[in-house]
Amino acid sequence: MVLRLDRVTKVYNQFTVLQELSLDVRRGEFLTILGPSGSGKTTVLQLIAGIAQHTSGRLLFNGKDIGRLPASQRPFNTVFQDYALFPHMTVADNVGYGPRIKGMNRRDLLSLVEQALEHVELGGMGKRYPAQLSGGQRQRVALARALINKPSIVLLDEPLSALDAVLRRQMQVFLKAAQRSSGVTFVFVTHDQEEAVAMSDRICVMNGGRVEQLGTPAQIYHEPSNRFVSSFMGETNALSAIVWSIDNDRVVLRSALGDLIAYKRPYYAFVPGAEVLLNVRPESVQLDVSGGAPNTNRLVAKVVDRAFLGPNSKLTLAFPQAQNLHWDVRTLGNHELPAAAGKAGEVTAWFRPEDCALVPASGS
Amino acid sequence: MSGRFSGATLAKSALAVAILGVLIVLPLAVFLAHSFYRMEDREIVRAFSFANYAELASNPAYRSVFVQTLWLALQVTFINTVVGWIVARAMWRRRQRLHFALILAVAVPLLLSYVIKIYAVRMFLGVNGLLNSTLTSLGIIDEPLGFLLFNMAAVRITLCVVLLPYSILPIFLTLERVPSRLVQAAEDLGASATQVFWTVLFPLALPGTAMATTLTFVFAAGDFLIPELVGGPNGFTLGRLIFTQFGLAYNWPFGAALAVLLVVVTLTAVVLGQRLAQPRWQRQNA
Repeated sequence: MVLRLDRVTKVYNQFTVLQELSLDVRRGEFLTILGPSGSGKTTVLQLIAGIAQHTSGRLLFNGKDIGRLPASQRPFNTVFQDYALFPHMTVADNVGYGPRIKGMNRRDLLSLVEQALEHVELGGMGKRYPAQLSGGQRQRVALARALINKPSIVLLDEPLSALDAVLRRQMQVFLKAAQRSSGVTFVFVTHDQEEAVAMSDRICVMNGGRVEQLGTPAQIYHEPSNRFVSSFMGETNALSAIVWSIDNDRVVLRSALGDLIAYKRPYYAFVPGAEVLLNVRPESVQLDVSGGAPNTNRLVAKVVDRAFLGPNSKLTLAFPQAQNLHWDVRTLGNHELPAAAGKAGEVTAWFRPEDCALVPASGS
Repeated sequence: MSGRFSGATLAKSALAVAILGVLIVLPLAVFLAHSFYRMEDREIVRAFSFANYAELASNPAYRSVFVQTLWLALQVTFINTVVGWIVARAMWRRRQRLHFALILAVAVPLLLSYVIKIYAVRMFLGVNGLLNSTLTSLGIIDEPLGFLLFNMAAVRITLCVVLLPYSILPIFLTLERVPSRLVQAAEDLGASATQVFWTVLFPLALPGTAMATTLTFVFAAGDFLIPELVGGPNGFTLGRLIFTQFGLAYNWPFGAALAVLLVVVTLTAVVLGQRLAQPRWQRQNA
């Protein structure tokens, strides 16, 4: 571990932005801090960078408290949301800014800058000014300007939010590759959960100034620890249920849609009688086309809406037993109603016990 | 339709040109013409000659006034640009209310009468002035200092004081427009406060500095009232010289030649200032 935030609290204008937040950043990892606006994710980044000061708690870098060091003396560099390139300097001068003010001699600086520009595929662009570059190019200049200082951690504050969808994808791949090849620790802030899943080694989901869950993208996606994470991370179908019984590897649930069975995950701490929320991802809900579906977790539903989304289609299901409950189903390719649909669009949907996740019904 | 429209546009343009021509170009042309005339028996002789300019170039008294004035203007410009920067930097990023109060404090003197401001400085510097009485009552000096007024130093001090808002405001306004993100980025990359100033704030506020230096230089080089009121016999400047030629000496052609010289100096300063106000990175973006 390279950086530890130890019960860090930030109060700003009598408003608690961060509440006793603890977080470990591991050496060489791509850690994404994910959360909606107002969750405090950018504040975490600013505290690490030294742009803002925390109210209490400790900020440990390799075991040493660096909480009161000014930004200029911390071994971290930031890639800002709007890039914050110096408009009066050429691309080369922007990239070489860090080494230059530390007094590196001109010849070493020139070759270092050239190397850095090559690294971000901007060779030969050194003489241009930031205003003459495209959004993606500015982004890469900002990255090169940070990486050239060989920082222990690069902090990225929603750097892709100003780019269009296609460029965003490209930059995601590019950033990920840059992180891998440089071996530098990246702490990346975003509100876009797809981006987080696509790029990160670990994701820290934040809400209301607290960490909701910290884990790998797969853990966050498939094993959310609470309601907030399950609803924030992509689309989900939720259903209130009560834990009826628990045996070795199965949780039996009682719900408005009848008895359902969920695979028991090792971290579950539910006792019989607990109110839970069952979550099934749309892509995990299957439609019984051939009639060969297992007997567990079968739901009779009615298709109330269909939307063609390109690679797949979204069907919206309604249930006769539960009004106002709608589930979404992803079906590959054909957006026509499946052949299995009976009269009045009735279908049988089912999901595997291992494809659902339970979270406590109360709490955030 | 389009013919009528362009006719109206043409008429408007013609009006603008006519107003500019009558109010600015024509008087300047009259001046320029007068500078080639000469005086005989208190009459203006409208005969073309370079005599006034020859006199200007050959008479060492005029040359020294000219050099003295340029030197004075440069000194005032330098002092006020430095002081302007210090004040603007101190005003920078203050809390909203203090911010407003500071701008007001700098801008209010601009609304006061020029003569009143000059007399205020004169009363401050005079033998019975605030500065002398304070120093005597504090026991720092035994008797009032007489050299504070009616010489070139007094002209310099008064010009600096009266023209200071013209330095502070343009610098402050451009400084306020430098995005705070850039300062954060520089600090993040390891820059000290001094390095942030010289690598980010100063170059980005250069247009304001150019504006400040141009305004100050032009006002300082052309002013006649301050040297007249606080300069005494030694504080002689180009502006004052022009004033005496048109007034006391009643030599309009020679005064016109001096005025043309001043216009040339002023225009040069404006052109240089323009170049400074449009640094290379801004020209390239256009």
